[in-house]
Amino acid sequence: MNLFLFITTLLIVLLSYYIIFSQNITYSILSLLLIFLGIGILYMGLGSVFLFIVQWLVYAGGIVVLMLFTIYTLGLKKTDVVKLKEVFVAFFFVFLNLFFIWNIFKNYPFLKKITAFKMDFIFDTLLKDYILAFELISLILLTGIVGAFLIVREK
Amino acid sequence: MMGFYYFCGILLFINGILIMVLRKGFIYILIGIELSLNALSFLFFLASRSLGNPHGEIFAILLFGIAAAGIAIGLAILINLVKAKGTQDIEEFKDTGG
Repeated sequence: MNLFLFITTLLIVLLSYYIIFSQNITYSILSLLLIFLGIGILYMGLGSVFLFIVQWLVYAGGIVVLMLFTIYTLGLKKTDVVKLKEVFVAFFFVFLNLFFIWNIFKNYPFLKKITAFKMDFIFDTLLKDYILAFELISLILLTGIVGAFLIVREK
Repeated sequence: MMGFYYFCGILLFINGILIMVLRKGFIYILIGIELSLNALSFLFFLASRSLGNPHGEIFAILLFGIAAAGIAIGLAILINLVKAKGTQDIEEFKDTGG
């Protein structure tokens, strides 16, 4: 199981590099779908079945399909080419940053044991301590739906 | 092994930022936002699991809602921009004000 999760993680990172250099919008969105499915597998392998199900339903089933539907409706085919000079500058700064992050993480005492929570404990905390944030998220979703409708409405 | 997951989560977040910065298509900016938010919720989940309290996992659950609302607004803006200009290149939208 551990080796399987290791390979999945490596595959996810490689696919995210593929999106940076890809020329085809459809292939980019399909590799985004594979990334979402892989992160869902990581959620399940690390012990949270609920986040696995929500990840596959909301991201892989909702958001990716919505993006594919939009680009097929608009007929977007052409895309840009990445400039190599910008890529070199960006990757230089990224690896400089990663060097510092690695120096911080090198001696950090990560726990060997992974704690698992029961779902009723998590939802008790969510609906008692975080009730205001929960209601605000529902308000943001409602505003998003109404706002999207108002933006695309024909005058 | 936990450090490896953390490092790959950080790499995913940075790659999302790079997609937003390096590409000129509007749909790629949306892809970058989604990838960064998803990597962020994965990092929250990892922190919750390795520190032993449930608050990180709750933040991961709340981030799903924010990402879904963001992609709905973003795709609506993309539809309007493509209707107005006929392209998704963000260089063409410099004179789009108001």
